[in-house]
Amino acid sequence: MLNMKNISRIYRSDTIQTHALRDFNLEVKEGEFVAVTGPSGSGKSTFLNIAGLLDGFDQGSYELDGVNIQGLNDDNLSRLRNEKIGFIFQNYNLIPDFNLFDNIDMPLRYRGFSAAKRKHLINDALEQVGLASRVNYLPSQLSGGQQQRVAIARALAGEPKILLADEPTGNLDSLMARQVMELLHTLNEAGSTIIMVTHDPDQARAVGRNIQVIDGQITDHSVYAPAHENASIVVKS
Amino acid sequence: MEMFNYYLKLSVRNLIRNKLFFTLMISTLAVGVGVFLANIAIIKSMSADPIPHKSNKIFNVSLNIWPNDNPDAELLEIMRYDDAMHLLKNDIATHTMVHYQSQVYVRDSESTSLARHKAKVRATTQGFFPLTDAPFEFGGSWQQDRAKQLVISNQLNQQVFAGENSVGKILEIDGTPFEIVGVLKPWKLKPNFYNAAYEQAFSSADDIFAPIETAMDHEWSVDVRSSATEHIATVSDNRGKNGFFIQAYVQLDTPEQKQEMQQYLDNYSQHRKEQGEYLRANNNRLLDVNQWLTYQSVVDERMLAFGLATSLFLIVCIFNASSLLLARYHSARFETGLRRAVGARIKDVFYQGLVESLLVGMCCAVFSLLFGWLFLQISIELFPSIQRTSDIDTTLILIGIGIALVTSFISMFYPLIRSCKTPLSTTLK
Amino acid sequence: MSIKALFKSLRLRKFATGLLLLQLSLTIGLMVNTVILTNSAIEKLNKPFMFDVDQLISVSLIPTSGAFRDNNYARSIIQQDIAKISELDGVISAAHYNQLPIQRGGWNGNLQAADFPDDAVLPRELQYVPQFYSSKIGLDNLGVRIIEGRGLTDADDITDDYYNPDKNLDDIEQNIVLTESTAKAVFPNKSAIGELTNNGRVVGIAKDFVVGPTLTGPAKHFAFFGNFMFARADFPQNYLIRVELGKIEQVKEKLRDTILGVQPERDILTIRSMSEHLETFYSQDTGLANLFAVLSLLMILVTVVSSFAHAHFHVTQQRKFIGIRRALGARKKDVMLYVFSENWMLTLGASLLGIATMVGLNIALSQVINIDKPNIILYILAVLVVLIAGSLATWLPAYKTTKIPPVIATRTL
Repeated sequence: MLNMKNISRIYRSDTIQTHALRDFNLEVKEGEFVAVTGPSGSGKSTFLNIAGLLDGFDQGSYELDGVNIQGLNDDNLSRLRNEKIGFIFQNYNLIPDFNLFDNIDMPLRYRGFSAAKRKHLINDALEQVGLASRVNYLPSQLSGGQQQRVAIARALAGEPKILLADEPTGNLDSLMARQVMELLHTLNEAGSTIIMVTHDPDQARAVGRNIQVIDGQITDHSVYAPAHENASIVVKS
Repeated sequence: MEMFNYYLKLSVRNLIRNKLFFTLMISTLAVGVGVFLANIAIIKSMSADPIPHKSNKIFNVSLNIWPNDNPDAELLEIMRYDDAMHLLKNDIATHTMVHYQSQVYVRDSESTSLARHKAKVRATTQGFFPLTDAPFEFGGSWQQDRAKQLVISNQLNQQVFAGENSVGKILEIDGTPFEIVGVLKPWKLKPNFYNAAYEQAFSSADDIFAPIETAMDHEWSVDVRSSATEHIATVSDNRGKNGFFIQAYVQLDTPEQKQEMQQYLDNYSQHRKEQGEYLRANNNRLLDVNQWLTYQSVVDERMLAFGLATSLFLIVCIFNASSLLLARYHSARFETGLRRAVGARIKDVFYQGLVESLLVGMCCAVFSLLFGWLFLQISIELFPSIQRTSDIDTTLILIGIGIALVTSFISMFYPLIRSCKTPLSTTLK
Repeated sequence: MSIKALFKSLRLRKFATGLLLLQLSLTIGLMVNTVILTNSAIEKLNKPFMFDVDQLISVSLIPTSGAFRDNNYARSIIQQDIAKISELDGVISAAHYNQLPIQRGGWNGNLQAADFPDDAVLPRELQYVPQFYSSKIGLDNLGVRIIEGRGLTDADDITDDYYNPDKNLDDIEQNIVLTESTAKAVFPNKSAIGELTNNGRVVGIAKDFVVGPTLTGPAKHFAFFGNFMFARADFPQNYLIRVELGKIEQVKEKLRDTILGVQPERDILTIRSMSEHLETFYSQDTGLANLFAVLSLLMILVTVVSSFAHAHFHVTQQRKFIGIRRALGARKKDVMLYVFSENWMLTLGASLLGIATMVGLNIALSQVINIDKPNIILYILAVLVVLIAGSLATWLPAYKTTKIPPVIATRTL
């Protein structure tokens, strides 16, 4: 599904150059739930940006769902982002004066779906996150956890191959965080591939596969525990 | 089309969301375009071609002749009665006409009222009508040089005869009866090429067209410049004397005709010189309508100066709008970044910006036309002589809409490029 | 607060700052040139005309009936008009004129000494000397004094001879009065009194007054006066009425009825005070100055808008940094000063650029119209106006910064 080989990303300023990623190798298979941890500045976000085609890389190769990313132009990259990737951000990034429908509608618009199809997909996505009854609400009328669920619905609606989540519970209190994690697990069980950057070791431990990024390299592929059992504990407790 | 509608919806929402911002931006842009437009309204009709289908075939005739040896080398636009009569004798030009301007007071001889109407007179020859393509509503030209017959304008016909067919009716001027033989349709040349000399190009339209011999026989005064080198007691006294007051125009359809006409004039000057007159430094001059209007500086220099200032002002307004938009796109970085992240191409973002600038441009166009009209009224109030030259017509409105769209696009262009180029990974968390 | 930090913040927004700089400098340039135009228009109107502008009313009229083709009739009507007008309360005197001082075109001709050699070239300004024909009081009526020789008398009136068909016009030698400058130009090395010109014999010299204000040098005073009533049915007749100070309006009201009371078959073209006459004469200049003034006003308005917007967005963008400053101990007036000083720096930059736009625009305008050179005082005034307008517009956003709570520093945006 996702295959990165020897990826390097270097940020240059006038005086220093920083290796954000160095010979970074990672393969993620379909249906996996991967948690990415690591200290601040380790390169987690750079990794996620490259994985999400928001940023380029200097060396190495990257294949996403069988497509080699190297040398694609903006049109193709945008199309890939639109069709294959769903983003979930720490700040939800909902447009405040769009109602839920319009927020989820946005990526679908760029896909060129018909109005009927879009409506169908949006309702499905909202159904999945349990907010179908609030389709006409504005984000500000919802709690933080609900907003993040809307963001997840937005990511899901286009039926992407892979979900990329950047600290999805970072702005939520523990109860709401738990609900969001539960949702992600459900989605994973239903077949979604998920890569999630997180600070929370408990959350990391609860998913199938853990990787740790330090100084731009993967240092550890350790799996804390059998994923599903632990996950169910985390979610249910 | 669906995307266009989507973007339009988004743009409308944006406009409403940023009311203050867009009000400021659109109104400054509209003021700039409006002021510029008002200026164009004035300059456009000043610099228009009054008779486009044959402006390159009609020529003003300025003769190289003067009875005294005068250091003033400029050719005069006016000629003597005898010069004009000689010019009329040519069989080279398709049409030839000579004229002078006068003014009389007329009344309908059958009217019980003694009230008279002031009427501007073009004392001219039959060639006037085919040369200028003056459109007849009723009747036609007079046929005899000394006929006591007149052609009148539509306006005078409205004033005196309420717009009826007045051919055959009698106008009384200074106690003498004149028969109306023709009535024109509404007709006004802007600028009036045959009367462009001596700052007359935008003066009121002629009311009466009369045979020049008749006008002189009845001593109808010369209203624009007349110049004499000897004492001339009355208008009719000009015949055979050195009184300069007649302007002349010829229609020459081919270059050969023009060449022949030039030769004809040169021969005449030579003949006059042999009779003891003097030539000037310049040769006999034939200028076509547009050359003639340029030579007469029909476009007011003051308006050009003001045009310069209004262009600068428009630039300032574009700068202002552009820097406002830059700030606006800066604050919309988040949304743009989000759209890009979920799959919008740079093209899509640009297209959306384009739709927004179209919407802004349309709003701007509406206000520009409004401001333009307002500013034109103010201009006329402050500078009354503009009134005669300024025109609002469909072309002008289209120009206005065009300028508004273009300026709003120009102001949007750089900020939009900037917003398209923002690196994606920095805007979202 | 350091200037350096400000510079840096401005440099970060090169494009927006650049646009604002250009905009402000163009505003300064346009304002200076507007004031120059306005000043010269006002100056022209306020120049001394050296005749009694404040006490004169001009009437211009033309006969509408053929009866006036009879010259004797036309003359008798003019005489009756003048007599009736002179009887009006507040009127000091009235006279007919073939033309008025300060008008475009007019009745002009060459003026030279009778013995001027045939082969010599007459200076151009003497080829078009305005010829005034009025009654014997023509000059008095204007308020112009005779300074040498004598004024015109009844004996100088050539009207009867002129219209006598038995008289040969060449035999009529009229007596004329020249203005001082005219006399000097035609007879440079001697007194003009008693000399013969191609237009008659000089009997007097009048003090100079402004006849053709668009001319330069002494030529603007060139004119001669003869005693003659030009009465042709097809030409407009002019009357000048000299009234007691402050009686202009009162007399003006009665003129139309008085004149038409003598003979109704006339079209009265204009009745206006001499000052209105001057305003009309200069209306093109004042009109242009007015248009420029409106444009300047609009430009100041746009300056206000953009200064406001610039500061507003600056403050919005820098909310957090301002919050941090506040958290670190900056007082409200410190942050306000910070916002203001950005505007002031821009104005300073624009005022330097403004010198170039001011001079550039002046040069560009001088290609198409007459315009004086800019001067330092106008420049400083324009900079001040922009500074004040900009500061006023910045006040609201600056004031808003003081409402930014220091606690914002600790929040993520």
